[in-house]
Amino acid sequence: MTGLFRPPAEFAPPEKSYRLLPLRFERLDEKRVVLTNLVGEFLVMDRAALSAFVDRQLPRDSQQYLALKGRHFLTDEASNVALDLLALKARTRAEPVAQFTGLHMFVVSLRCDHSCGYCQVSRQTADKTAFDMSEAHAEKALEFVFQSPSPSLKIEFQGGEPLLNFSLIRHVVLAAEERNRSERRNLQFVIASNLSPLTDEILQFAGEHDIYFSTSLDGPADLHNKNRPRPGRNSHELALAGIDRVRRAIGFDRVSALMTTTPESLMRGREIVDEYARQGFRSIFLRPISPYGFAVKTRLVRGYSADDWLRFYKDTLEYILELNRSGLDFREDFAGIVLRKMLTPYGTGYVDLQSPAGLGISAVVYNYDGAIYASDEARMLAEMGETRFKLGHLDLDSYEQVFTSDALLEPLAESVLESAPMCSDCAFLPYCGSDPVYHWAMQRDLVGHKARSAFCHRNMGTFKHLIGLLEDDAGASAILRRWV
Amino acid sequence: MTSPGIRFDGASATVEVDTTIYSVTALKKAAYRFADRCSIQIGVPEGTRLSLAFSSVRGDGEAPVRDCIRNFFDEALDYDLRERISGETAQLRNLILAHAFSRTKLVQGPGG
Repeated sequence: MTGLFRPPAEFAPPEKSYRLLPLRFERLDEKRVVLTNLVGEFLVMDRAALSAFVDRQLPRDSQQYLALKGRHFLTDEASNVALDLLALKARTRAEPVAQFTGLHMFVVSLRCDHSCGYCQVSRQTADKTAFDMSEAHAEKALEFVFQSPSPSLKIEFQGGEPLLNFSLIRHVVLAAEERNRSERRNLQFVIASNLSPLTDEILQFAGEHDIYFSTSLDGPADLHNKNRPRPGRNSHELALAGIDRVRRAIGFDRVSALMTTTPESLMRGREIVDEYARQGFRSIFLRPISPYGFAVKTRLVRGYSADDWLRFYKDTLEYILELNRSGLDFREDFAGIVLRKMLTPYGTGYVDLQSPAGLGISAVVYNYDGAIYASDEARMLAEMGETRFKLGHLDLDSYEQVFTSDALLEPLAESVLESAPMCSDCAFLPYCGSDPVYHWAMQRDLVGHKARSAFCHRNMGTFKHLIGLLEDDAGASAILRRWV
Repeated sequence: MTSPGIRFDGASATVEVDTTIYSVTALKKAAYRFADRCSIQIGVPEGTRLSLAFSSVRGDGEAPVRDCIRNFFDEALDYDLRERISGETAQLRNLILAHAFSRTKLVQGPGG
C-alpha cells in the first residue's frame, strides 16, 4: 500500500555537518535581518530562516545555504578554504591601521574673513597676526610629520583661512619637499580654503608644487551666503570665482568642495546637488553639522535631529540616483565610502568610520599656537575650552611623548568597537567607526551610550538604507556598485 | 492587567519572565538598547523567575509602554540568538584573527 508511511528522508536526522562562521545580525525591517561576517560581507534573509540556519535546519540544496556558504557564513567539509580567505580579508581590512598617521593638519592661521554660524573654530578678525602659526612651530611640526612611519603623508593647511598666512604655507611646502628628497614618501599638499584671498602668485606656487584645494560650497547663492556670511555678502560669488581660477590655472580636478548641512539646507538637498552639478563637480559629500565650536554656541546643532538628517540624506541620495538614471555620472561620497566597506575587503582611510578611532593614528592637528590635537574636532572642542584631547605641545613634548600620552591612548583603547556596548553585537560593526570626541562633546563619555547617540542613529540609518537599496532596487544597486 | 504576566500601571508595567527562555545577559543587552525608549529595571531572580519594570520615557499612558514591551522581547530574542552564535563561533573567530595577523609586525614574538 502507498500513503501509509512517509518517505525515509523525513526520518533522517537534520543536517548538522555545517559549522557556523562568526557572524552578527541586525533587523533590516519587520521580517528581514542583515547578516554580516567578520569582514563585512553581508546577506539579507528572513528572521525565521536565520533561526533555521542556526538550528541546522537549512537544506543543503537550498539557495540560502549556497548563499551563506558563498559569503562565508558557514563552512562544511567541501569549503575548508573559507578560514584562509576570511583571515586574508581581515588582514587586508586592517591594513590602514598599521600605516599610522598619514594626515597632518597645520592650522596656519585662525584668522578668517568669514563669520560662519557653524564654524568650528573661533573667528578672529583679519588683522590679528597673534593667531598665525610661527615658522618655529611649523618646522617642529614638520619633524613630527616625518617621524610618522606612514609611506603616504598628506599635509593639509587649515584655518581660519589658511591663505591669510600664505608665506608660512610656502615655507612648509618648500621645507617638506626638501626633506622628502631623502625620505622619498608619497607627499601631498592640500589647502582647505574659502578661496577669497586667492592670488595669481598663490596659484602659480600651487601649480608648481602639486597643491590641491578643498573649498566650501553649501549650495545655491542664497543658502551659501546665509550659511557663510562675510563683508559684502558675496561668499558664493567668490567661491565660484575661486573654483574657476584654480581650474583654469592648474587643472580641473585640483579643487574639490565640501558642504555642511544646516537647518536651512534640510529642504533643499536637490538644489544643493544641482548647484554642485552646475559647477562641474561629479560628486558631493553630504555632511551633517558637527556639534562643536560656533555650531553649539549658535544652537545650530540642536536645529535638527538625526531623523531630520536621515530624511534629508535619503531624499538627496534618491535625487542623485535619479540623475544617474538620466545619464549624469554623479556620486555621493559618504555612500561611496560605506559601499567600499560593504562590497570589498578593503578598509578606507576615512577617519570617522574607523575602529580604533582615527584619533592621532590616522590624523593629527598642529594648531596655530603649537598645541597638538588628536583630530580637527578635538581642536574645535578646545576652542570651546575643553582640552580633553590635547596631546601635547610642539615646544614641550617629543613625538614619543605625544603618541604614547594617556590623552591619546585612553580614547583609542575605549574606541575599539568590538568592546563597546551595543557595538560589539551590531551587524554594522565592520562598516562603522568610533568617535570619542563626538561622544565626549555630547555625553561626556568616550564610548557614548549608543541608544542615545545621534552618531549611531545616523550611521545605522544610512547603512540600513544602503543595504535596502542594494537588495530591493536593482537599478539603484547597479548605480551604487559603480561608486565603489 | 491585559496580558498574562504583565501588570500595567499607567505609563509603567511590570513583566515577569522565565530565565530558561531569555538569558539574563540577553535581557540586559536589550534593556541597554532600549534606554532611549523606556527605562527598564531588572529585578533579582527568584529561581527561574525574573521581574522587569518598564516605564516609558516617550509619553504617558499604556500605549507607549505596551509598544516598548512588545519590541523589547523581540530584541531580547535576537540577543539570545546572538549570544548562542557568538558562543558557538568564538573559537573560530579567535583562530581566524590570530591567523590574519600572524604574518604582520603587529604581533609580538616571545620575549619581544
